[in-house]
Amino acid sequence: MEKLMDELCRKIISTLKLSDVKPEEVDVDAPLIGAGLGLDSIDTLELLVMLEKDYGVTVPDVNAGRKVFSSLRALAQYVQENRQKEQ
Amino acid sequence: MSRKRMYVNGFSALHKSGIFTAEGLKAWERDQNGPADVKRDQVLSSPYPSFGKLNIPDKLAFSSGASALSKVSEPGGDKTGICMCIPQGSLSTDLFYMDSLNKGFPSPAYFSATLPSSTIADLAIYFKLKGPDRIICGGDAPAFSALDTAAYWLTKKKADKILWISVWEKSPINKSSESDCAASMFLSLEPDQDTIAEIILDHEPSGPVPDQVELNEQDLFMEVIGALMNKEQKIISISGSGFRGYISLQHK
Amino acid sequence: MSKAVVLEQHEILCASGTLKSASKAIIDGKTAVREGPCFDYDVSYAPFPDQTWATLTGAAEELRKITGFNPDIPNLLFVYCAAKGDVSSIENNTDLSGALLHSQARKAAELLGFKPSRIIVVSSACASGAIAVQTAKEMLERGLYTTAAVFGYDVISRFVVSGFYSLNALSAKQARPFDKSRDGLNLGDGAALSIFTYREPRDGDVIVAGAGCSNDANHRTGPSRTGEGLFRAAKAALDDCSGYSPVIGAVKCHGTATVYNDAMEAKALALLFEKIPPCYSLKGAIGHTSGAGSLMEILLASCFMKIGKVPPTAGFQESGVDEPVQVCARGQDFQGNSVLCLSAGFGGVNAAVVLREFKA
Repeated sequence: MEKLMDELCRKIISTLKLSDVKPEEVDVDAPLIGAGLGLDSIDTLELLVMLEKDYGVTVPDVNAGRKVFSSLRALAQYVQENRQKEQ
Repeated sequence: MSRKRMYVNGFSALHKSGIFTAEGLKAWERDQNGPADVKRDQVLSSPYPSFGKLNIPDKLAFSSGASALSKVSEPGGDKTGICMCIPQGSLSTDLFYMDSLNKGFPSPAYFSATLPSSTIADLAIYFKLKGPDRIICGGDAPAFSALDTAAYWLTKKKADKILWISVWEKSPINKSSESDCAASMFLSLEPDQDTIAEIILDHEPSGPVPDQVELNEQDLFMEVIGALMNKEQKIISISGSGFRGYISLQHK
Repeated sequence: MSKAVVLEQHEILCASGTLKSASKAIIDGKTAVREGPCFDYDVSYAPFPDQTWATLTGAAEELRKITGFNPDIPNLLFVYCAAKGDVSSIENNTDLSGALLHSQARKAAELLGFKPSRIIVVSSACASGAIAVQTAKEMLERGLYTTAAVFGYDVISRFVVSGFYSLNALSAKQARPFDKSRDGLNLGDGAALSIFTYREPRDGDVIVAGAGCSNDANHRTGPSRTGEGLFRAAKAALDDCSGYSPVIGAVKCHGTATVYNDAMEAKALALLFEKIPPCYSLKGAIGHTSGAGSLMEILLASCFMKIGKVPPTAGFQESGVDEPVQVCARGQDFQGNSVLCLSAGFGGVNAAVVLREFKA
């Protein structure tokens, strides 16, 4: 789980080109959108594309999306659960 | 002749020779090939996480504008507008988007930047530039047209301040062509505590010019920026299809 | 009598045909929006009925043929507006210079038979047309040119459909502007040509009484939630009308039918008017035709004003905005002498134009 969180953190930074952000400084329980990493709606959409492309994981609706992006830990959990189902 | 006087309250240019600022020319670092490699802290002192996301035309516009506004006391406002010239439009970003589409995963981030008007979004958001905008992507003398629009809006009080920006991106069509360049001037109708120089723009219409040799506006406007940096007087005459004009710069 | 910027010959090409056929279809409440797939995407869209118009050459030739205008105009300013250039060259990886708006503009002027003294190309996404009209108005009022031709062209492409789809901005069904079930826009094909002069207006002329623009300074693609940016653009356009005493009989809204745009626009209208005049959106009838659309809708607005009607808003059934915006599923009579035309685009750009019918 730790490894997946770290991997996702690096993927988020590289996908969104957050050059000023260091992975070790990211709080795994902070919200990803708005506060914390300060991602906006386009960033969210971009991450959804990354999740589908790199993990085969899709997010069905806005409500699920809110939970998924509520923190890095929540995202990793979602990827771990749904990735297994698809394999 | 329609003569308009404006005041320059800030300026900057990103050029292959370095960053032109009021403090002089800042050379590129060894790992930088030119303007497209500009780093955030070279043009903006505060952190800006979105800087890394910017595609080349957006980065050139943002960096040049941010650098021009760096010493300005109150850049933002409802009547602070942007007049931009960007002849290449968003072509380089269009190619990145097309690539993502061809790979089966079209990128919303790239797509949202595939419009010339999106190049001003970050500047407008960051500095709260809420006034009128004019984005000129071509035609005859687009940089001069953008400056002329700025002068007109200020004179007619459609805006109090205008950020004039010109972005000349290295062409993805001809990769061996000129290098990237972006120039900005922050202009106002009245002088204030930030004022560095006075600029007079004159403009009269003329007939079409057959086989008009394309004006090298990049060189012309870099002369203006160079004169601002070196605190020199300068007069530049410009003639193109449909107009004759001149820009006269006088340091304060 | 003082001079004004007068709308002379003009014509459009859209999913419902030309100005004559489109204005009739819209007033009759018809829609040209059809269900997908559109480039393999399950979205509704509004293409030209004649696909020979879907190239710049085809559209320009058709417009030239229908209007029959004489392009031999001295001291002419040519303003080209579009959101995108020829994206087919990007899609097919062919000569990329065609993708530049710059070269599209020159080609367009040539195809239309113009020999302009000056060409200006403006691009402000979906507000391009309104910005182009403002540009022409200013240059004419300054006495720099005696005539301005404003031309816009934007067509649906895989590039644009896929992009809007990735932003979740498209609807699978007909767009429903201001409706409580609205869920996105329909892309459409559009081309528009208009000629403006600066002269003393005659009875029945439509003049460009005012124009204005602003920036939301809020988000790269989404509008400001408060509507204050669009409000300021509209206010600037109305303030620009000094001396014309406009009585706004209708508002031609941007009304894209996305959740956010229509909510924002309603707020802007409430800020602008104590009592909001009748409003309409054309996006559910002829689709969202990007930069060209902004010009096309201004020309249609002129047409409706002269006919004396406020057209119905195809796709609308029940209001889904908090403010009392009078959008109708049926048309109504136009009462007033001016129409306010609103548009907004990526980059936070807002633009407004006021057209006034001149009565001697």
